Amino acid sequence: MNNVEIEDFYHHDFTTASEWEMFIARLEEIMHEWKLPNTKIGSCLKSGDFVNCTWKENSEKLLFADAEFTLKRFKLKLDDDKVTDNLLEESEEEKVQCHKDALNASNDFARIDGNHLEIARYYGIREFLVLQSVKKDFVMDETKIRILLSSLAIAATNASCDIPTLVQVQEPWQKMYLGISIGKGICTHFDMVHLKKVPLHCKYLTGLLTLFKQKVGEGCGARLDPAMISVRFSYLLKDWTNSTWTQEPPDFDFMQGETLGVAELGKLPFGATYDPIAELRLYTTWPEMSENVVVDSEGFTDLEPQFAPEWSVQVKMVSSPACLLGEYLTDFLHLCNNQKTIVDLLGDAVIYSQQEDQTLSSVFNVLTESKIPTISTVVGKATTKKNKNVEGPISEEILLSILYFLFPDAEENSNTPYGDLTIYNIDEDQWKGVKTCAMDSLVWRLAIVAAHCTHNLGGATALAQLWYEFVQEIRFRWERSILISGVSPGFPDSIRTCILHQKLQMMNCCIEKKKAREEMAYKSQSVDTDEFETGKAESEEEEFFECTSEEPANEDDLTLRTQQKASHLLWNKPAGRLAKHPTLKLIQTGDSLYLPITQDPVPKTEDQLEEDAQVMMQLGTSKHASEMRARLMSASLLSDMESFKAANPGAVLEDFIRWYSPRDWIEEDGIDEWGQPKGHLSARMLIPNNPWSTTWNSALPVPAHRQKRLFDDTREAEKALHFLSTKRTGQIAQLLLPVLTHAALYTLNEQKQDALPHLPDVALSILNKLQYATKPIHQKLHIYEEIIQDVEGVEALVAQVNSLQHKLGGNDDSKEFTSFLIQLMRGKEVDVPGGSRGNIGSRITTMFRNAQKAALAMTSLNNTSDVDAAGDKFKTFPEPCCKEFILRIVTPRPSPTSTPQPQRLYVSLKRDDIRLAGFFSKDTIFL
Amino acid sequence: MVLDQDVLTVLKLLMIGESNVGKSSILLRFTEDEFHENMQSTVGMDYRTKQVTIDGNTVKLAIWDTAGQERFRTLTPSYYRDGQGAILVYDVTDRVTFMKLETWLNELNTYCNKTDIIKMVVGNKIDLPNREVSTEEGLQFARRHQTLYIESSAKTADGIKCCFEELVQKIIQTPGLWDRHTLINSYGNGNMGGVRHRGQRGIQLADDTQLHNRPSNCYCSLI
Repeated sequence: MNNVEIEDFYHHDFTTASEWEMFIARLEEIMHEWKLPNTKIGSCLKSGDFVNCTWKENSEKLLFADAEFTLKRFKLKLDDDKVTDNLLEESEEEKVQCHKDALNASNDFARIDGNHLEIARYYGIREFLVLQSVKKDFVMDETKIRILLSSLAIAATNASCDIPTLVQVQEPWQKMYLGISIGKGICTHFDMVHLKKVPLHCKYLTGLLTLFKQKVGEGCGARLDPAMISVRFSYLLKDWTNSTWTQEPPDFDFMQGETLGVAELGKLPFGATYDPIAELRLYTTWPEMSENVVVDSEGFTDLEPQFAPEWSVQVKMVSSPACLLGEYLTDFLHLCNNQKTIVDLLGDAVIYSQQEDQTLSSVFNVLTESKIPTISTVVGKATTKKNKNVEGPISEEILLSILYFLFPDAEENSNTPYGDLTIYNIDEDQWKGVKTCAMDSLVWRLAIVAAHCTHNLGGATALAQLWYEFVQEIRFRWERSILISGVSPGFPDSIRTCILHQKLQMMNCCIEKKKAREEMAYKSQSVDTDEFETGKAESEEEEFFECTSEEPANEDDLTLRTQQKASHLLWNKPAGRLAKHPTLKLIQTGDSLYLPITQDPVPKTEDQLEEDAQVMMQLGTSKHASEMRARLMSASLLSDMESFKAANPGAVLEDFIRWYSPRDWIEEDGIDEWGQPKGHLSARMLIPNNPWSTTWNSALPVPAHRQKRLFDDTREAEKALHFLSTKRTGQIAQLLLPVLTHAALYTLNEQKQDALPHLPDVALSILNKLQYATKPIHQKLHIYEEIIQDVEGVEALVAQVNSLQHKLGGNDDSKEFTSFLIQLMRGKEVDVPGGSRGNIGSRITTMFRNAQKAALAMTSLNNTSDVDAAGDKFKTFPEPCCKEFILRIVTPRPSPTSTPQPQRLYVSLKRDDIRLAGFFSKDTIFL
Repeated sequence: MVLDQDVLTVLKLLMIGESNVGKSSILLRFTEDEFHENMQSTVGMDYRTKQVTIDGNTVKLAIWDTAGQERFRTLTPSYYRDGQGAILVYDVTDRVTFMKLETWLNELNTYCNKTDIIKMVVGNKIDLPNREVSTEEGLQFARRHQTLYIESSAKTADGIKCCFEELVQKIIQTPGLWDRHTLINSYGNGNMGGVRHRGQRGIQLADDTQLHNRPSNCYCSLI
């Protein structure tokens, strides 16, 4: 083949080398590059190695004339490769790796994912080279195939590389490979037949065996030993009968108004809407049997799946199963961009009824004393006036049950009262840092119900209707001075709760103030005002109400009025005292210093705080701005000073400072006439016209309850109501989204599944995202999108595991079953413990039988005359979707005097395609 | 004057501590490089800004100066929200102001929605002779509460610049603290500096790697 004559040791002439020679040279070069010549024998293959170990892949490009090819090398990387190197040194010379592998049955029928790796199954080899055409001009032509095969044979011989070298021929989908392996006096051919139509004599093992023996024994008179046979039949199950699918469809009956299961109202659904398991493949395997012990012919077969010694299964999942929770969330997320107003969705009636309610309720407010709210009166009121009725997709009955669920205190014996939300200590909670609200509180319930309404009862319009009714109820409660239940007590918590919850807390603050004021007004009606005033001044223990029913209209009025009051009152009549200071005495009079009752701090919600901060910032940083800020901030200082003056007639700034800012009082040596240490104001308090002294000078002795309210509950309540009632659909959804997502994650976290040991960890990492997402007032929807995708992903997994558990395990929660489940979820082929006789095996058998019955019922429906005949034909298992056989024999070829060599035939029989992959070796020395 | 476009981010800092420890003086020294022997007592709170360039990054500081009087505590904490850095000041010549730091830290942790706000403890008035709190005690406190520590004098300007610079540096090195703030969005979006890039998503990536590496529906991470 090398037609260049060597004339001189140092002088070679390759100028006449053909394209073919160059191709071969390149092949050799690559083989050397990959260090393939004289490779050592590796360790014996163990069961599962083909699937569990990694396949190393190398690839090089090369040209034959102008046709481009790739040469790829695949090698199974065994974990214990190195250890065995020297162990097998002696046998090294005699054996070829691929021969050992071809006879090794431990990895029969292994299915390996990956391009070209089917070769390992066809020929049972752990290492091989594949030559493949790069462009679309596939190797179809017989001559071409032969040239390529010869090239490989020549190159491999030259490089003394005994690794099988194969050429991919025909179209890629056919997975046709032909090849050769040469070395150590043996030549092995890798042949393949791939046919669309299965020849009659190849349909059963008997025929295949004859075929194999014919091929092997051809021209060799030797008597053949019995062949060893491995068989695998695969069965496919795709139709799950009802009993095999666990997920009960969510019970939405309550939404149809039939069973008003309130318990469902507060829960989010979870799971897949249809079975997330696409198919189950059952492999029944008969490993290495002698041909004598098995018969499989047209008339009779020993190969019944129930009797197969080994059973294994593999499942395939639906790629993206529709999951309930995920759908809920996604639907809701889409709503967040909805720009429609409530009026757009529900009609003008909303405006009328709002106005009407206001006038109506103010009348009620005066007339009625009733403190028991009933939602039905509110809803009923709306429904009786038919022309102005606010109509929505949610029926009145369902709406009522929803409202009673949200406001359980409106019902006398509610099944769903709120828990004690005062003990709500979020710092100890695992959900710390998620800025939403307490679990199962009003906002929590509202978010979940809103999701139900959106998903099941009419989309955006249903949400608008629910929101409208919700706001109506809040308004109703404000007007009737009924606290909103299910809201954490106290001031709006702008650090730990969402803005909606803060607004409701604010409403409750206002309602409390209003209630106190109304009670005060009620009391003062019965007592003469003047008497009340004096009585109050004299007794410190008397309960104090800081606000009277009469409001100063503006500041001027206040000043005027207080001046009048001051002239009426004796100057030394103190008012609004809280407690006596233990030691301090007034500097000028020597009277005890009294701590005044002061106005309560002003509750604010996050958006208001933000606004305040903006105002302060926008003033700028000049000196003037600082003064402006000091003046803005001095309202509370003034209020405190006035209270102080009222409680301590005759007090001076020094007295006030000693209480308010003790560090600005510099004590001196010596004692004053009242027995307390002498002292003076700090230098900064003595600066002329500093804000403290000017405020002190302008302060009048007015007790807190007579001052202008720092917190105007009526205005604040109206503001909060306005905030709630003017939201567009998208904004409403955004207000609820953080809480809904939180609830979803909670639902997810509730799922217990042994086969998903890392579920809590994954939930935690989603939680971290949620913590970040809930922080700003305005929600960043893309983060929620991510979170929702995560939740969906996990939901799908849980649904898959649940489905498998139900199908294969029932109530089995043993460790063995769990690990079986975990393997299965990884998409692997897993051995069934106990085979066909085990618990799992019998469940699988039942599933197949039921599917068969169902299929039979279907056909007999169509074809009633066949019923009896079908009854006889009934079999538990369907026809196998694939039958695989591996036949092995060691026999001398090509003549009886040759050394015995391994021969192997792999057959795969499907409904309409047959593949035969032969591994035939012959001695090249002793012919 | 640095153009707005070059501003990396806006950081919100808080000045807290007992009254008359020198919070406003420190701030005045830092922003205007001035010192008044007699500075007015802050009513409620005040606000100042300054741009600083640290390690080549220009940041705008929005500094909220709070009043130390106890009664104002019902008012001021509402301004704590979203603060990235807090300067806790005490007077080294007055042990009481040092003892009270504990209260202020609690206050901060209660009202601040970031547990990872960077804190700096500052012992002020070191120019005065009658010192009551030693450097060791200050350091000890800082170590115990995982804060930065520095001593300063607004009068002599010792440690003032350093105090702010160190705090800002620390905040910038902790990207999760400042990347989340959208104030920066008003400063165009085309020419984002390299550092800002790093900062903007820096900690997020760290937080989320686990999830990002997890292909959806992949079972691997769950078993």
